[in-house]
Amino acid sequence: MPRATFGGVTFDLLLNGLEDTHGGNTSIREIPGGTAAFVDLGGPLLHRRTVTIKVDSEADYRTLAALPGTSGAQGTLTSPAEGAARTAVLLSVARSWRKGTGPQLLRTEWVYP
Amino acid sequence: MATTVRTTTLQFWVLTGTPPSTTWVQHTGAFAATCTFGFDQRYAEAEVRTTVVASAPAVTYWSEVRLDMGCTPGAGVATRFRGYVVPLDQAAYPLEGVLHCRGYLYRASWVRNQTKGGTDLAGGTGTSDQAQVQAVLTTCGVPFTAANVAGTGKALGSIYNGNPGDVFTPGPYWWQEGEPGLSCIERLDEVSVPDDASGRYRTFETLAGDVYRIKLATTPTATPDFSFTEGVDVLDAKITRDPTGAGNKVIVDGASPPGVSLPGGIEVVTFTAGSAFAPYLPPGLPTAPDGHAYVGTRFASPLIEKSLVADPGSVLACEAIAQFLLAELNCVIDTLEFSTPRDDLLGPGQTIHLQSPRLGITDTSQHYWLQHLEITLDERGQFTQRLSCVRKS
Repeated sequence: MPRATFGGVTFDLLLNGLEDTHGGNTSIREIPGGTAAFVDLGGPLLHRRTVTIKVDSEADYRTLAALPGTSGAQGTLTSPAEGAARTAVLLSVARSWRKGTGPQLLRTEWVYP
Repeated sequence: MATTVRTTTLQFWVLTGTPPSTTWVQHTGAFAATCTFGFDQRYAEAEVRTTVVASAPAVTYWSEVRLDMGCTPGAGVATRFRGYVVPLDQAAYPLEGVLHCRGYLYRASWVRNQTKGGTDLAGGTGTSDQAQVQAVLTTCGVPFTAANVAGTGKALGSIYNGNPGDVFTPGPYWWQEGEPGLSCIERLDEVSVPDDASGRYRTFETLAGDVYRIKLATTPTATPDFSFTEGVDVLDAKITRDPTGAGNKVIVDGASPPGVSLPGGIEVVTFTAGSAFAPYLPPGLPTAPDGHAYVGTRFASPLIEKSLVADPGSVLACEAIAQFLLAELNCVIDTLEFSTPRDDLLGPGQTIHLQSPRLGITDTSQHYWLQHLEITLDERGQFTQRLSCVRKS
């Protein structure tokens, strides 16, 4: 299980269910009443990643949950799964079941600037 | 399906530094822009949406800016707008700034004559309209190419430039103290009709900040500059036919003829042009002695110094202006609006053809005159041009 670190919190980064998204500013317009279309390529979007992590405690969960939207949301994500440490922005932290104490499973969303 | 895949580009540049050592620096935070040009606005305008980036150059009032955008394939990255940032508009959430930009001609609208008592643009022997316009543009600091600012070439003011005995009323060819330069230019433009009444000189701003003064009539040329086809390159289109404002008689009044002194003299040079042919008139109007009904309009300017074109003097004639205005007014105006994803270097005054069976435009010789143009590149990189065209019918 690869251990990762972000924002001073160490957690398990679960590769199962990890989803990378690479999108672009692409506009597709089909001309009405005809057989022509225009596809405008307006440049790439940032690489996004959605991944489940497992933190060791409720306190770690609270630390990460306080980061999105603040200056602390940008940091270095260090993980053997990533290879070299990468700059990442934590967009959101979500969990579906609250245990209260002990390890927590969280769904997180990241963007790589 | 014939699909055109293209790359769209938006580059917003800010002129930095102190003259003569100035440099264009790109504002990489710009993500969307719209610019508009046309004869229904006094100067070109643009709106640029930006977000905060650390490397962005400082932008403030009167920052000189340039907007390059376009599609490849297409016209490519070309300068569409040049002007100034006036005013700034910022929002906190999301952190976004809207830069309202106005073209170089806006300077003439902003700058007012500071000469005490005003400036006599005609002088004692008269001065051509283009020379007067160029003098105002120069005073206002509007960049232009002299060859692009044309005119009738007549010695305006050589017959009547005010009454020296009336010290209370300013002469017609005076640029008044405190008057914006563009107001003075527009006063000259509205009467700058050559003897053949083939058009009227109008000062306007087109793409890339170029200021022109050319002879215009809302008549398209025989060959279109650009053609569009429904089902191929037209996103939406509509046409409106409106007789509002039409008329078949025009009375033009000018200045007092020589020898008539003010105050007390109300006689002016004048000419009436009319046409019995006016199929758009509502039925049941009272008829004139010649048996035809007339709906007239009146135009007056003290800058017009003679009645007939054949009258002596190289000055503007009521007759030419009346004939020009009659040709413009004695018709129903078709207004055609449509938008296209195509990237061509369109500009006001061009002749446009649209082939649209749905709108009933199937005549290949039926063209339109481009009155207003809006170019948009939105936050998703989508490039669109919206055209508003008119045609007399």
